Amino acid sequence: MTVLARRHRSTIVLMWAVLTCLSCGLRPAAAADTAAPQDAVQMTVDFLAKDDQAFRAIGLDRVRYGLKGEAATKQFAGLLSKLAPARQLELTAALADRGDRAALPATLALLMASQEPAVRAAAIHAVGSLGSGTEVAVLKTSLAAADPEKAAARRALTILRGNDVTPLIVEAAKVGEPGLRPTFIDILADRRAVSALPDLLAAAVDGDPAVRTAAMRALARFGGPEQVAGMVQGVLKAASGGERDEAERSLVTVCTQNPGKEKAAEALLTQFKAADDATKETLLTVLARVGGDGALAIVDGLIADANAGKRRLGLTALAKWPDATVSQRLLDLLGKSQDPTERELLLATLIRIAPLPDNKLKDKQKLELLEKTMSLCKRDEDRRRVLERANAIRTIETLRFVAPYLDDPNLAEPACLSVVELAHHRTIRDANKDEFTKALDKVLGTTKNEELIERAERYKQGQTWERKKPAKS
Amino acid sequence: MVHDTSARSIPPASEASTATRRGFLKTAGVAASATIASPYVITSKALGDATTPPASDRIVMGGIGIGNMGSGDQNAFLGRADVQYVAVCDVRKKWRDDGKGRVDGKYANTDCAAYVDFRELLARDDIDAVHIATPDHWHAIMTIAACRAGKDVYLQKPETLTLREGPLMVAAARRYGRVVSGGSQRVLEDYKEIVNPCWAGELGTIKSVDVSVGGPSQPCYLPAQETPTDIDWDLWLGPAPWEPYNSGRCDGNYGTGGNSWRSYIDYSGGSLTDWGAHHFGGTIFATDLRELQPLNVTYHPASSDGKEAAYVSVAYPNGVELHHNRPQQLRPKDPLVGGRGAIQIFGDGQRRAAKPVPVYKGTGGIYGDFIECVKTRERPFRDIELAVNTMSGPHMIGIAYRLQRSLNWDVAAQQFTGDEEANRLCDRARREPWIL
Amino acid sequence: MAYDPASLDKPFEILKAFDWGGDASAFQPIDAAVVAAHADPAARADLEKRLATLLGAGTSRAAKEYVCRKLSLIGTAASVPSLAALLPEKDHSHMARFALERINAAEATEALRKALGTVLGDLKIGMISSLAGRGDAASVPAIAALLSGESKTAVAAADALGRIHTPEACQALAAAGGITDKAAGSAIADARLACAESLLRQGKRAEAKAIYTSLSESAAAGTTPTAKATRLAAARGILACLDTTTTS
Repeated sequence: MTVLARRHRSTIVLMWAVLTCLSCGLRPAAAADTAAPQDAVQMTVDFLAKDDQAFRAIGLDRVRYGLKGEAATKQFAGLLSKLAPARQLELTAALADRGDRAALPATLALLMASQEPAVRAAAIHAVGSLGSGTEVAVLKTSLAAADPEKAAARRALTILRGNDVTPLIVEAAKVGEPGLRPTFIDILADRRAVSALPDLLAAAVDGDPAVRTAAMRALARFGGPEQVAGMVQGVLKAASGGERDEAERSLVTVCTQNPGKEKAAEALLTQFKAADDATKETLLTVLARVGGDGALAIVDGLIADANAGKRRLGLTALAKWPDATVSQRLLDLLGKSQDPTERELLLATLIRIAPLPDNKLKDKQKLELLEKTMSLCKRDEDRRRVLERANAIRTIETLRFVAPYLDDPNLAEPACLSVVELAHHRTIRDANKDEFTKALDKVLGTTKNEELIERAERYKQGQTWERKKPAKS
Repeated sequence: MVHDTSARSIPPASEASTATRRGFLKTAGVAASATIASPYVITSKALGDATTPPASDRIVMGGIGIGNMGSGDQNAFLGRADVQYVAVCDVRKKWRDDGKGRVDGKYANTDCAAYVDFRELLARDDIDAVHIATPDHWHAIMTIAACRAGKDVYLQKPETLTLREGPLMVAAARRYGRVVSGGSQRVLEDYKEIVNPCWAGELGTIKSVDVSVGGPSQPCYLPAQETPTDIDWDLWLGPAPWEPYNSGRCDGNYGTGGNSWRSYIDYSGGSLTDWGAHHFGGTIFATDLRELQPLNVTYHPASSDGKEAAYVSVAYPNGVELHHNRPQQLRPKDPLVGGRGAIQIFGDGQRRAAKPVPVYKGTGGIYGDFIECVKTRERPFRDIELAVNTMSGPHMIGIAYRLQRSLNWDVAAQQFTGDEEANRLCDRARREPWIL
Repeated sequence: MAYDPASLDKPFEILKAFDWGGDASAFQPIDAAVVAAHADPAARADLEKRLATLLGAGTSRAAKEYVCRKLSLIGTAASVPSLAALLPEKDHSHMARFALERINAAEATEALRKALGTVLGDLKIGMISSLAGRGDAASVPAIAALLSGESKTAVAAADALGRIHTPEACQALAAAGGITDKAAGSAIADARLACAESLLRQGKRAEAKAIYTSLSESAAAGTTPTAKATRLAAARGILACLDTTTTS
């Protein structure tokens, strides 16, 4: 054996091996030849009783990753009823991670006996980790409780294993407590329960709007081409307004983002063509949001129609287009249209689509389109929107386009925003440090927006800025 | 207030005061300056209120490396009601002052201690946990030192610089029962479109994944510049070879094409491990390879006509292959079953049993996950062992590019089989007096 | 491509006077030759010789550093004398170790051992570090003798013995008595924990448990955080020793 080989064997190997030895690592330990030694179990139990959390952690670690075997599990689980609530909570969590179903009776008993919401939530989580279809009933009950039990029950039903689990949740979504039916549908979505897709389609046309909305939202998560026809019915069933809008978005997601999106878009087109006029009018917005050549032909036909109502429908649809492939059409229409309302709509659409990140144009072309759009603007209101949209095109040329507007009192604020947004992207900023420093200095001398000032200062100093995320439930 | 010191040899934790672990209320600020003379007074804030836990229940934290990523991490922890932030450490005065300023501003006092030398911060008994966001060449030494000092660690990705560091870091965490979380928030949060279908079994058995991300780091030959007075250059270099100061050598920007420490081999694995920690991390999590390390590393030379660049693939024990920058024209057309941007997944598409996707504990993303685990002593989402496994692939890929040949990895022995030169690249000698 | 020594004449000439900021592309052919030499022992030997020659007087610091990096990949016993000569030099000691620590030859270990006995201060810690990195069992007595010395060196010595963790290293750590330096005491405890872990891995549960028990008892009276950390680690270890259901 060479020196280096010896070195590796004598040091690295042994250090690595510690992982599977000292605390049993994350790898499953070898199957136990015998039951866990009683002295080790007792020592663990003793640690679990310590006041000092550091010592308890040693015991909990062993519960999680060591001392394999049902007998040891039962001994640990048997402690639950004797512990104070805070200790019950931590041992329950450890037993959940241990993953031995032998702890299930004790955790269920704890769930029944404890008056502490946090302990009950921990027990619910453990039931989710250890249980199967048999435990759906008890978890359904917990779902009706308040948080933290409700949240724990939802997660538990999401992670619960077993072939019989999904059908039971489907059943609950169909005939369960009305107020909880949407939650059961959300759980099916979290489980990505493909076997429940037919049931979700049925729920999409349910009489209860909350159920319909939840079903369409679930279908958006993992629906495919086969679900398009049913989702169309969901859109048609949805009440106009917020519910319809959300249903449409769900269908658009399936046709533009999910696996099989091209086929889904084709299926939508087929559905559209086969529909009666009233249905077509309803589906036109969805069709436009999905985009594509087939949809464009339909929209073109409507715009070209002599009937003013149909033309308006076509233009409204065009305004929903998802990419910049229609930019030339919009420019042509703008060139010809004299109707102020039409022109406003077309211009707003151009401003929106020009910098879209998913279009087929290169950055240079996007900026050219935006500059052209700017030249067509007659109102500062529109110019402001152009400047705000510009930062979606992350190039130094965009900075050069925006920077002059920092001097225009009417347009300085959106220009400041765009300069700062562009500066957020370090690759562009670092490669054009002088230009950005100059522009950021101007921002600092112009804006009164505190967040923009903070960001500009950070970027000037080479620091990052963390975008605030909306609070999550 | 700033406690700058040029002392290199400082007392380790064992020589520090014997104050209780939660004794920060009594000692906060004292380490920072002897100028605080007023007696300690229990404030209403210390006792907690409806939204803020009492001080005794807060996790006392400090930060090491408070530059670009470090300041972001600091803000995340500083914004938590269950964290009491008491100290910053950076070898650059500006970062140090800025970091202290943020803390003092938050608490409306001047108590935050500021250190040049991380050992001083680790020697404080009152600190429960630290976040580390230094260049990569410091990660292992600081993490191991923190574990030995009884601190939990939130460590920015990439967690390791060499293959050999990983097992030592995991061993330290396990030995002392510390919570050590890696710091790639993107792994769970930014790759849902591949993570969810993979764990749901919708993509079937994954055969291979193409990952597009930049390559390994390069040597640095930047010229010497006069060392500014606001940086402790010797401490910035630490265990890395001595090289003259150059602002581009130590700049913390995110580029990997030069003029940033992320570009250079002494301090980083380059884009391959930096962004790679995200892209490979997301891929490895999605395909549930986090508990495995590759067995084979295959170097595919560039085509003789120059049309196809060299690329490297790693194969895992379960048969999954990850290809780094495989030219598009060499990828199979089918069956592509999923992907997002730089990641393309090929599988058999035959539905498999679903597994629940692991999630963060607590609230507040990966930072909340870490804090929750500090409280409960559970293992975090990106537990150091999983992080080490994750990063092993990119490190092996980097070695294969350097040597321009294929390699085989013996996971149990943690060495390459039959390639002495490759084994030489598993680690590097550290500049005295640093020892791993 | 076949090895062409003449093609490297100019790159080597440029390299000799290279300073940071210079044109590194000029000696990129050397990089390529080093990688290619893997399959050509004669080329490798020639390259090694030419590289080692540059480690003498008249070569810039940057160039020597470059040479050490290359020798760390292809160096053999042949380049050990040139590298060893740099070990006592403050500016070059680390890069010499950078190469020597990786060179798979008994001569490299011997050079580090020899330097351990002669260099002082941080340079000595460097030797300790590299001998530990090589897992050199034969240097255990020399390193163990440093446990009772100056604090920083004693800490490094303890760390090294923990890394080597041969029976002799573990024994030396256990026998280290009368250490009053707290930092060294803490490092010794950590190293002994590493020793116990290695025994546990080998299935020597009783021996491992004996170390853990000893550590637990000696730390029992301590009130410092370090003493508690040791007690906790030892308790964790004892439990691991008792748990025969886990992989060992």
